[in-house]
Amino acid sequence: MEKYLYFTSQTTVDSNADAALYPASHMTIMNPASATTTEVKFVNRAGTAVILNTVTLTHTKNDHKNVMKALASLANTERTNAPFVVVADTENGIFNIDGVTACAIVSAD
Amino acid sequence: MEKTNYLFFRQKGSQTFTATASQTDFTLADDGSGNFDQDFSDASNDESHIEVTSNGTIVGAGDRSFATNVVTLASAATVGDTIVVTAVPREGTEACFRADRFLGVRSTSDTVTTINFKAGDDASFSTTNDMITLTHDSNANAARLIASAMEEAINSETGTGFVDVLDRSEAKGILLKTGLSFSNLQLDIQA
Repeated sequence: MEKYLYFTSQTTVDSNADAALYPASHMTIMNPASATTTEVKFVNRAGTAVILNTVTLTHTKNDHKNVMKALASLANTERTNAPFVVVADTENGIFNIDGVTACAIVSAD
Repeated sequence: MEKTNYLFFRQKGSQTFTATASQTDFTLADDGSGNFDQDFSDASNDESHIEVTSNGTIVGAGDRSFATNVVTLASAATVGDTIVVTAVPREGTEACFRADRFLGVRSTSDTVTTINFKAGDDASFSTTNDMITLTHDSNANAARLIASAMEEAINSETGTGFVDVLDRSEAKGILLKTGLSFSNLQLDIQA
């Protein structure tokens, strides 16, 4: 069953791209953006050849590999039959990856 | 959705020096020559791409300079000081690719082999794709060994789906089981 990854970036979700849900199969690549952030890129919802959907997770310094490993695990999780997987939900203070403390969403499409 | 693995690659990027008396310059073994896979002679690399510590304390950017592959401390080190230079993680230093976006393995020479994935920024897959360039010891079977290891990584059964393909920082990964000796890993990511 396809998993769907849920993110919110604000304590109050009331603006463009404050929240996002992506199919796990649309996650294309994870890579560091800085010493304390990892970018997770998703297939563009608009279907154009430019990345417009990027989630940036803020975490413990130099902990990118563990963040990527945890995200892979969430995308493949079989611990639950529920397809809805919360990764980082700032609105509700839920971060299901150790060391992750914040989330930013860029969705320009 | 069929489960897919997530394939992890990471460069090597740290060097430790024991300072001699009044030493200010520390030359990094970069570009696959020992400690760093990054080529610091590349103009795109700068001071923000390294972190320097002296006996565990970060040396601020204002207290050092960095040109080509030489770190120069503003205040000379004391003999025996431990100076550690580490690459700051960024897009080209490590990445995790989806196995189902794997495109192929290709030999470039008996010492260089490339691995390609569909570009993360290209929904139509019509432009340049992501590429990993591996430099290894001379071996006529290198491409076959790497190709076989990639197949193993793509299809391996793990609890998380996360697979270390080649983590040069931790000297881990399925590619090391090939018996090949790797000296450089370059990640060319399109977005």
